[in-house]
Amino acid sequence: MSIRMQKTARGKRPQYFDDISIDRCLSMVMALSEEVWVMRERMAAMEALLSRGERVSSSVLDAYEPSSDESIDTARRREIFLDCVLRSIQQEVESLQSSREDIDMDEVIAKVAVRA
Amino acid sequence: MSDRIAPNRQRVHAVLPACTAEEVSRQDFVRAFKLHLAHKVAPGNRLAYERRAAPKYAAQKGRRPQHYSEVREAMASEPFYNFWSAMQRNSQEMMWSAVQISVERQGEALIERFRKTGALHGSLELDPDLPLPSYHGAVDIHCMPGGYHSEFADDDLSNGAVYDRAVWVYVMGRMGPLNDDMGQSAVNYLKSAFPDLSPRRILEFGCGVGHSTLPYVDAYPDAEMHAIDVGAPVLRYAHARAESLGKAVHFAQKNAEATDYPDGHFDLIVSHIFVHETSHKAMRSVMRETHRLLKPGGIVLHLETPPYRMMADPFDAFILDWDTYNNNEPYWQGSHEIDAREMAGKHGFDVDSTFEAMQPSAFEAAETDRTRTFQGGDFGGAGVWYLWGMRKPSAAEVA
Repeated sequence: MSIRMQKTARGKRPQYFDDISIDRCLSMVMALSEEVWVMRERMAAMEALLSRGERVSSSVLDAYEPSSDESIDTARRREIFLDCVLRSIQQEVESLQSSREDIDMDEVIAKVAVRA
Repeated sequence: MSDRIAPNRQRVHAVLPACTAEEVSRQDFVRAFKLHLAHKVAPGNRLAYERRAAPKYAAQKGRRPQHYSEVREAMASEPFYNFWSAMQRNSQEMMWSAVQISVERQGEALIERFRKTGALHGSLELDPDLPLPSYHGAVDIHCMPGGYHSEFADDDLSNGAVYDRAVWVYVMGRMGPLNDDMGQSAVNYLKSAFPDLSPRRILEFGCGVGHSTLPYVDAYPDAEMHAIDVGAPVLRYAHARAESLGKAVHFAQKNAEATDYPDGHFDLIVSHIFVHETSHKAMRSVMRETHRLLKPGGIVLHLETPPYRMMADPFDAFILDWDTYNNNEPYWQGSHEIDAREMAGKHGFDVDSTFEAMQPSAFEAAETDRTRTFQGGDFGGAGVWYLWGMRKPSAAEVA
């Protein structure tokens, strides 16, 4: 009962990095993040069912409807998950926001090494 | 099976694709990823511009960028911007893919439901011989694989289903349970700007799955509502959806550049995010056709995101222009340069009948999730729509 749809949009995809392999790797990282998140939510559903002593099966999990408290908790955890995965880019936003320039590490090392 | 997507729910109707818990997780993830980019990452673009790209440009050229094309030049080698762009593009591709998974699974069932749809309220007229305009065939607009027109089975409506669900994910629920905020907002404008308007027939160009169409049925209950599009799958979906929701709309597969309706057939012609999916040449044909189709005194109204000249500075215009180069929207830029008065004057309308307005979003419930900015990948984030249009002189004015 399923249909096979076209998977790639017609039109040349822009290249964002000097090496196209980096474009591909970034897509893979984000696709994997989605998979990890999907698995995590399924695990949370399983935990909730088991803690209530209910039966767990694929069909029960496919039809699982979280309570509103569970949904709020899921949204909170998802944001933490995204914060962790995207930390490296957030670090750059923070450094752009800060008026203080980070001192070069070699300079700091040299400074603290100066003996009185 | 569930229609859940946090925090609000999309209104269920006969052909809305149902989702397993896992499919909802996928779509919720993409939605959260998009929100994360809009709120936490996108603001870094301006910082990178102000702190690095603009000073570098100024050092080379002796002045700061003054036009959005110069901002684009300045930002082309900015690593933060390129990384954000790459993630933004990925979020778009992930959105289509996440929704496709659920639509593919139940594609045949949706076709069955379409085949059982009657014509109790409205109707559907398809024209398999209608040529596909080149601006739809060249690239798949906004990266939706197959566009509005590709069919993957007989009587296929898969891409209608994909579009309905994906718009919900794309605007992050901010257009209401029926994704009808644009139609509602345009209606609100018409009711206040033209309180005496009492159309007998209304026509919508580029109706897609009918998101913006249905508000007109409720707002003008005495009017006959017609809606056209070039894509058969979206029209099949629009028809089944409208029938299921009990709304009378006559959907037909036609090209807005040249329809076969009689002269002066409509009192009101509207479109919502249609203009930017045409072309420079096509819009001129659409204007000529609009003039032919409108009754004397009739009104045409188009809803879009604001033209670049309304942006506070070249950087804002540059960010709004992201879709042109990164989201398969080749006429996004050209359409945002349209001058409503010039369009009126060149196509037989009175220049002074032209109107332009910034209309607040009708759907206020999701206000808290708005970024209040017009930026690539944050469609509907600003909570305001740009409207433009004009009125055909009435018979009395002509005489």
